[in-house]
Amino acid sequence: MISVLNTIDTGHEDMIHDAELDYYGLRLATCSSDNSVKIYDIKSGTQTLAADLKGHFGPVWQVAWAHPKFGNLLASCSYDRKVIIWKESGEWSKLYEYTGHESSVNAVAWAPAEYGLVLACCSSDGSISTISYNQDGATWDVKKIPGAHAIGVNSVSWCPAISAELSLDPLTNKEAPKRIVSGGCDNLIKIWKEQGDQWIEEKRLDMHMDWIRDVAWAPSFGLQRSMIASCSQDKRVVIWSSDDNISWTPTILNTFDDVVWSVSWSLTGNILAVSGGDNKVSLWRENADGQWLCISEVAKGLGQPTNDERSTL
Amino acid sequence: MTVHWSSEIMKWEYRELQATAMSVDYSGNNVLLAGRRWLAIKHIGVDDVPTEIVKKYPRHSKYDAAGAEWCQTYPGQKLCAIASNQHVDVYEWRAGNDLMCICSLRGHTRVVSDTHFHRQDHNLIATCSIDTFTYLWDLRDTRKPVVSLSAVAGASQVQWNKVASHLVATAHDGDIKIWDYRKNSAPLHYISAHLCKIHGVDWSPHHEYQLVTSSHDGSIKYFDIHSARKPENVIMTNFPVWRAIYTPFGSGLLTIGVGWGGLPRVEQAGVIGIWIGGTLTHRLVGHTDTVQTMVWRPNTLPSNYQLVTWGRDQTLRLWTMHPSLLKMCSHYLPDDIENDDNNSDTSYASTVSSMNDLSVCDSKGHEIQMNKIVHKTTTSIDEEFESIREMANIEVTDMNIETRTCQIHSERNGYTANLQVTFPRNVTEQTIPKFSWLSGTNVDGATTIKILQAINRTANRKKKEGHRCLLHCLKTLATSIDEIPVKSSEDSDSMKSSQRSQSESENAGDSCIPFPRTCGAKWCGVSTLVVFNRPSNARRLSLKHETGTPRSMSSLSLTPALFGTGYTSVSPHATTTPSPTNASGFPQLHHRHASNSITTFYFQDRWKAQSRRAGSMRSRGSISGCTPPRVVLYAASSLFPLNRTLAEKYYINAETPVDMCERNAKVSSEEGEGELSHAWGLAALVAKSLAARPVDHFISSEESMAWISHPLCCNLVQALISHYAKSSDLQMAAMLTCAFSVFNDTSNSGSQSIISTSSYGNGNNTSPYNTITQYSEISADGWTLPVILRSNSCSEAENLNTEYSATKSEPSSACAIDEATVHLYHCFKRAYADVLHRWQLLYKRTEVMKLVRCKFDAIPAGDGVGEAAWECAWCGRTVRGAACASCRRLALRCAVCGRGVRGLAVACALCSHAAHAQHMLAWFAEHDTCPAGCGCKCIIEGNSLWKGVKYV
Repeated sequence: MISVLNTIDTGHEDMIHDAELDYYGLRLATCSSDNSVKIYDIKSGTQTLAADLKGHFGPVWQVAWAHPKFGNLLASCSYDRKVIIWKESGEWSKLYEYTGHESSVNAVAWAPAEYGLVLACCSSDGSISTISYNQDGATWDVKKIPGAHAIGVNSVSWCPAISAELSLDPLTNKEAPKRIVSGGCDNLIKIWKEQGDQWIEEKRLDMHMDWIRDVAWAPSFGLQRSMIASCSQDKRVVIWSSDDNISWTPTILNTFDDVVWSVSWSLTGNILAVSGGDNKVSLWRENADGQWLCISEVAKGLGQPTNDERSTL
Repeated sequence: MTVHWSSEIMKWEYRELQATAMSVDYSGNNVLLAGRRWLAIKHIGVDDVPTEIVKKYPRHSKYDAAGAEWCQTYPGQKLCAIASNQHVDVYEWRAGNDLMCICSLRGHTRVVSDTHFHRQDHNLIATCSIDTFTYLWDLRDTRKPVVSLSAVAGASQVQWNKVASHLVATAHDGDIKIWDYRKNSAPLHYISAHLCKIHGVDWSPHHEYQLVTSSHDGSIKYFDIHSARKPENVIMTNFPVWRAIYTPFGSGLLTIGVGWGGLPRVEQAGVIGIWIGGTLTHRLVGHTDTVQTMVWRPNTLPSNYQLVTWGRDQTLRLWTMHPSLLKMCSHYLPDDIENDDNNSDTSYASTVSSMNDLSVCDSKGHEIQMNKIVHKTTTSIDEEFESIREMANIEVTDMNIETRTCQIHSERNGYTANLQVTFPRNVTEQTIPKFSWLSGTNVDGATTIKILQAINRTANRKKKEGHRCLLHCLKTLATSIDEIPVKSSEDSDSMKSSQRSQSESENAGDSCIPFPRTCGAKWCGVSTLVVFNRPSNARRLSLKHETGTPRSMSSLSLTPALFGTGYTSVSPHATTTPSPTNASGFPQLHHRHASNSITTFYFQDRWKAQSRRAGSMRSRGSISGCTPPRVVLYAASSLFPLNRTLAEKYYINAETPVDMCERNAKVSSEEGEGELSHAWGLAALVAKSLAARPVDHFISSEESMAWISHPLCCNLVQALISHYAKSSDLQMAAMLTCAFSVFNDTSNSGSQSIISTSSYGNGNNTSPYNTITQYSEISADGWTLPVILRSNSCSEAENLNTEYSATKSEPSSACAIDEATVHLYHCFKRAYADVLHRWQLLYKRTEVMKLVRCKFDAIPAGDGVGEAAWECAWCGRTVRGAACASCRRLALRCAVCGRGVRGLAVACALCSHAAHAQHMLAWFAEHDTCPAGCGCKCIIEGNSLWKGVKYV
């Protein structure tokens, strides 16, 4: 059973498209079709609006917090083709604005902190960009994968840095090969590996029959097995698992009633949260036999004030 | 360039007809005017007396004629269609006298917005309506449509392709759908063209694959249907554009706007603009009110194109195109050799004079007499086709004597040209075939027009000379293509990108942007689930033909609620499509703002209901009255075997594993975690046996071997750890590896001395980009200098990573674990340290991180780990290892005992003298000045040095 910790009336003037807590779980960032990003301080059942960030000129699709060792940084991406990195230093302000995409930027994801301050973003113009902060010159270096997916890229996720590869120093994992998984409108999932200066397509996973809406690489704590969850317009969620990051085995988690919009792994990588167009959220866990079972589901009306206090998943 | 203007050459006014629609017949001589009470057919000829009357036919209908159209084929030239409210009446004009309604097409449930006869088959007519359907009717059986094309938004325009007979385009609000009517289940192409309603669609007369759209948002866009994501070109005007049509010659464009760029609307309402190459170059001025319809008069000479217009000022006007205009459109002039010079300087006032060599039209209809009769031998179509059979470089892909068309494919220099040649049916000697480009052509638009003109010129010349023209035309095609500069890949790339950036100002096509998420769940922190979704009262707009939520944002533009202010609630009189005939003129300008769309998508019902009730236009898209969006945080800690209280209470001391296990067993039983307590108990047993190992040294080696394989030894611990790891109990797995990290050590520590190094990160969390200053010490024999190493690696910000050093040399063979497992265990610890960090248990985290050992432990890997360097006590070189490489002695010498230091050393932060940790402790228990005799009061001053440093 899980219980409501906090209910936040966001005060957004339009639909919310993403919400994320920071590393410590003390701050909530939300973004909405009203073109704004809001940050709330969450403390024991209460919330205070800490910042209302206005800088986008279109609906904001996603927000992402960076690891706190880089400071309080938040990245947001929008329909207006921009990615903005916000920084708190007393006040929240724009640290960097990336305008290298030619269409709506659909997702942003920070790399594992071990790689430094690196942000991946993907756009409907079909390309993926990685923006990395260069400490020497205090500049941002941009690398782009043009034409990563035909029509557009909808989601991107990083391979965790903690890796079972032996040659790596467990303390830093600096040398771990950087990998990205992306999903796009060509119904494909692609795994990209950084080689030298470039991102090379390492693998493509073909299973879905419609646009991929979200991909998520499961955090691993060193176990050999890597897992990627993907969800699609075809109403299916697929779990891809691999022992070597090269051959991947798909398992269909479930076929849902409506399109599936997002998948999210828990920190220990064993519970998957799935949500989609039917306004439902469900949690899934793999049992000992390798079968995925739904452990709880929220039917609807999660935001309803009436059963808020009581509602349990 | 200045904008020229010219007036009409003919004008008739018919106020009494109150016509709202106009069409010109196939012959180009009869104009149909349709109004609520009258249908009238006006005969026009250039030499007509302006007031010559028309044939009037009473029509008794309470509805305006939303559209009127003559069939534009020879066999069907007597047919015309009048759209009236929900049905379409088809009339036949018999014997030039009698206008009979032959059938009425009834099928639409809402007002019909447009009709279009098929360009070849006179029995086929397409009708579209705001009921979202586009029907194709066969006039031989009109009970029901033969084909039905369905969309989600009402259609405002339907247009048959001018080249390919199977293609039809429909406009739905801001989008265009291209259909192949033989495959009616789904559109071939979908173009998300405009932010606002599209008023007009026109296919290119020269290209199968090009069309132009005009919209209420003031833009005119050229599209290639095969690359529909971005328009080929965009013309921005600052007025809503009612119609934009191609000129039949060259590359021009005619537009009707409402209001005119910057000019007061009243003055300029009836102006028709002519655009060439994206700029407004000419205006046709005359109408005093908005122009409703403009059509090119069919069957005119290539040198004399005429435009027929009908405006709200109830006048019918006829316009000619000035030759210099044709030239600007890079249109070939048949006799440009003769009157080349004349034209260049003729003023626009002389427009009328060019009327002299106009064709004289026969009142009977279709046959056109040419003013220059040409003789010579007739060439049949068979001969024409036969002539091209053996041409090199040209491939005839299709040839049809029936329809008098052939299709040519040619590939040269990387350019592909697909050309369709159509020979007109009622050929006179001088009529040249019609050439148009087909799909697959990769020559850019402007060049295709130029080539086309060159071909036309050749055709015209050859025809004049009385020869077959096709062969020569194709030769011209081949040479023209050869003349195009060969594109290098770079060029084409840069061209593409420049085109792209040009069109960037426009929306890139929402059809490739995923439909916005309005519901989501994300795991954040350690065990918090962040959930947001739509309020339960949100109900999705039901889309008839789609199941589930749409995939792209373009679907939002298809919601009917976006345009007009509710078609349902208004009286039927007003339900005609928005057109200049409506008193209110054009619909309100609705910017398709995505935020409005997504809300409207889900709250459409609500909005409709409210607007109906209120009877007024309330602001759309606002979600006031709906619950404000909220985010709910769920604590799901019970789903995970991670316990913060336990983490806080757990005792970590790898030096005394037995103690650690026992204390943790107690802690977990206090917390009610019986199972964990039990596991800790087991671990304590193992730890005890292992700790007892040194004593067992004296036992024979056989027994020792047996002990190692004893189930209570490492196997048990490993089994426990892997059990917890598999069940995702990271906390327990990591804690056990912590407890047994001493035994996990595979390095043969006996042979290697480990120098402890300390790095003190300046952990100021708020400014992570500061270069972290690290203090490290150099200790020499007597005098030392503090050295400050600067680091520029982020990972060094990992605060206070003190590398653990095994001072006791364990008999490492006791519990041999392979390298991979050790690595795995380190990974557990790291992951657990991350969890502790998120819980803000920073000291616990540091304790765990201390136990994470680098495989290359003796030499910390490069700049990855905090590093200490010291000056060799003997030679003075800076040394980064235990021993100096050059003098091969232990580099660091204890300031107290004077011997080389292995193991833990402590240095004064101020004077940097170092000594054995134990010696230093003993020394400062009695003294307060440096043992090296430098006079530094290490305890007092050294401590104050650290006061400013904050550990996080």
